Amino acid sequence: MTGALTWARLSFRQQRWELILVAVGTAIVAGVMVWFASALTAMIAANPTCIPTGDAGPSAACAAVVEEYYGMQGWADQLLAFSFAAPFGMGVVLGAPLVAREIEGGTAQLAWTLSRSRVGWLLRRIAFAAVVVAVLLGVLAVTSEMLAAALLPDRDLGHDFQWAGRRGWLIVARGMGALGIGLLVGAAIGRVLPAILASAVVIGLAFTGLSLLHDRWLSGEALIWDQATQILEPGSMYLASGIRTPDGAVHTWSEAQARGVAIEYIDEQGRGYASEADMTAGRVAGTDIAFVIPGSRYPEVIAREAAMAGAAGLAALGLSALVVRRRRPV
Amino acid sequence: MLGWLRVAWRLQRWELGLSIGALCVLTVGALVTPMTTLVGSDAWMTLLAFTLIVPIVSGLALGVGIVGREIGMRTGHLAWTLEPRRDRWLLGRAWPVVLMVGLPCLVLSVATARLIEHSGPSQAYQLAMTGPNVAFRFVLALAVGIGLGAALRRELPGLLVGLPLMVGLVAVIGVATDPWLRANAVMVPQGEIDGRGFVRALTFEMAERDTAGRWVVREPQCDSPASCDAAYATMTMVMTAVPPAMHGPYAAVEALVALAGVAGFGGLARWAISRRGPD
Amino acid sequence: MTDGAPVLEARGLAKRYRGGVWALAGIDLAIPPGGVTALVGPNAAGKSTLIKTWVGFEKATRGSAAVLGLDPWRQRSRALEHLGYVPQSPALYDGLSVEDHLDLAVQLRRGFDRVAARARLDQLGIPRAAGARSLSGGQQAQVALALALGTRAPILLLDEPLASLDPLARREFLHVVSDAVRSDGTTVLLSSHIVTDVEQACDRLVVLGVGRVLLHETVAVALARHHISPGMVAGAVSTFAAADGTPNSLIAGSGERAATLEEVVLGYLASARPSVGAAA
Repeated sequence: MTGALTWARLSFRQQRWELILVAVGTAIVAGVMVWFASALTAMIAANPTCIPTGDAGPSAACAAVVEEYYGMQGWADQLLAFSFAAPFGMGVVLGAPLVAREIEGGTAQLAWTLSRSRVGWLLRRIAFAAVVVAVLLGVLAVTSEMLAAALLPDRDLGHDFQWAGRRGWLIVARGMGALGIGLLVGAAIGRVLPAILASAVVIGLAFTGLSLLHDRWLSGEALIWDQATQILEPGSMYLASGIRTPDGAVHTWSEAQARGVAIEYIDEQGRGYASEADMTAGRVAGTDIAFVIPGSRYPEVIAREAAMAGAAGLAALGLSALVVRRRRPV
Repeated sequence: MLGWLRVAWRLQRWELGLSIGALCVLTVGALVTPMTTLVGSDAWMTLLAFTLIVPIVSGLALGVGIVGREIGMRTGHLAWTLEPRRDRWLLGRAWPVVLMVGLPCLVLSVATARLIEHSGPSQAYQLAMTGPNVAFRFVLALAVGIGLGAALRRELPGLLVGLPLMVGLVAVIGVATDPWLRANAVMVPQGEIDGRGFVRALTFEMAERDTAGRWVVREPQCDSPASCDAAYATMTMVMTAVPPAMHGPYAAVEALVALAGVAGFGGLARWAISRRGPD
Repeated sequence: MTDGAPVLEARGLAKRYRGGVWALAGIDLAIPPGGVTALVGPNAAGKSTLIKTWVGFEKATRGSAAVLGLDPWRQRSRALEHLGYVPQSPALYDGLSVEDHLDLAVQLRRGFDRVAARARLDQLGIPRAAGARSLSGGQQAQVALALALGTRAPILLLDEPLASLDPLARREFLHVVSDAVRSDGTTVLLSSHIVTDVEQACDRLVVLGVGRVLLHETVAVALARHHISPGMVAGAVSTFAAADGTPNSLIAGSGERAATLEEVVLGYLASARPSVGAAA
């Protein structure tokens, strides 16, 4: 235990600038989130008849309160962008310099001769950073959930894709993935600043790729939602819109276009027609549909995405270990 | 002159390579992607967002390295004894970077200006991506980076402090110029927008001409669907926007801000390196 | 470890860097246990590369290196257990104090002797609470040496640690090294190009030039075997310029007078640079 504390103290002192800035930034964002969440909740509690306004629109007496509420809601919504960006930012700022600084500053020579195993050294170095990232992002995960709950008090956010990736523990998993990738780029480049720039690019590309891959996976599991006749379950994830042809086949719009299915007009019931004449004659070319993942699948989908991010991080950590094993310390 | 360029490249080749590479990718992306597929797409938004971000991040990353790295790696001893006039050394290190990255920034701004003109009005930040403004923002970020790198004497802290500072500066520029741009805005019917180089739509509203031919915004007066249809039929959707004639004055403002940044943060760097030793 | 069996070995060891530069061109060398062996050679002779190959920082292009029979590249962890290393320009962690460095060493190396390392540093008057960055070059080298000695490794590889030190700091450094050899039976390989230091502290000499071993003897044997004759002598190891500019020949046999250690080293270094010898 003493050893772990000593190691934590030494690791902190080697990265204190980044750690302090990241911790202060996280504390500010988390604090503001909590403040907004409690302010929004208090406002709703104080004005139960005004907020939420429903379809009827606010009464004249409520107009000022509602305007203030929506104003705050807008800011709070923006605030969730920070919890989206935080894991990637932490991967860049805390991951990339970890090995790069040792190589650039020449201290890797000392560390790699004192330590029997470079991989062991690397694992201990990353362990401290990982704990810090997990704690900081854990705080953000909790506060972002609080804020989201305050923004949508009537929804069950445990089964709702609203602000997915901007709240909850997916943030922590993404942080771990980004930390691993940052570490790998830093170990490969061996200089702090270039590693930071390059890791920002690599982390961006890696997570875009993961996101596209996951979307692809999800599209195979999507439910068809008939936009005109069915009520969409609140909190569903909307993947793409498309059309159901009279033979029952479903296509996204781009697939339909590629197959020569031309829809020029869609009526209020969501029926599509190839031309005005067809519409008049009632010759339906297809019905308007959407591909969705119901909100009830939120926990499972988020767990899968978190596992993908974690796996990417572990793979990057494995590659980092290979790089560190083979590279020169200067 | 060529010697300084070569030295700058050798010392910061990673940062320069990544910056120039990113600017080239953006330029090529803006030039080769067919306008019909690009405009309004996610790729278009990404392209414009990166056009805003890359010059700033490049400027900061290169700037903090110029003094911060010399001190951090203790090469300042060598540099500042070989060139005893430290401000001359600073200038010698900075101008090749301005040249090597500023030029690609200008090229990128030409490429994105084409995108903006074809896409019609959109967001406020697009003004910062027209003409030389991209390069001005790079120079501003470079100056901020040099100043912070010299003051904090290390690269990474300089970058970490510089990023929020630059975000703040960009926000301040936006807020400060907003009333002035609004005061100089013109009203243009929606049908006449395309290809006229408007980059900043402030509002879209229903309006009609008064007797003097000026556009007057007003709410259609109606109390039934039929009367509303009739009221709307006499009116036109009008955009209130910053006209192309304001591009020049706006660029002058950005240039002044960049100059002020160079003077302020360059002065900070000069003060920091002249007052303190390399170690 | 078998008594007398070499602790450090190189067989046909060659190392080529990117760009095609050969730093080592087929070295055969065996360092026996105990004592201080000086590795002497001009700049770019390959001294650092040879040491880094034993530490496992460089991979041999050809041939092999061994630390107590272990391949330092393939069996790095096991080889490192037997090694302490002080690099050419010791880099310490800017953000850590001297005491923090000892803590770090305790964390990284099982069995690190913090008490002994502290005692050494205290004896030298190096403030343990001071930040690494505030130390002088000599003090940083001493901290690096204390860390290497604290590992209690049976072999110490010191890569030109004396180069940037003043004479007093050099003497203190060598004193600490000699103490370690006496008290712990450590084998030390000290790379240097300052021959007077070698003479003070070393009992074995390896002269390295242009990537090859030119001489490997105990200091006593090297001094006994070599003589100097003025002018150019046929069959001499080499001819080199004396301090007054007159040519002297180093002879591996009898000559006019006994050679000093500096002359032995100069003679062998000159032998690897025929143009210098010829010019002289």
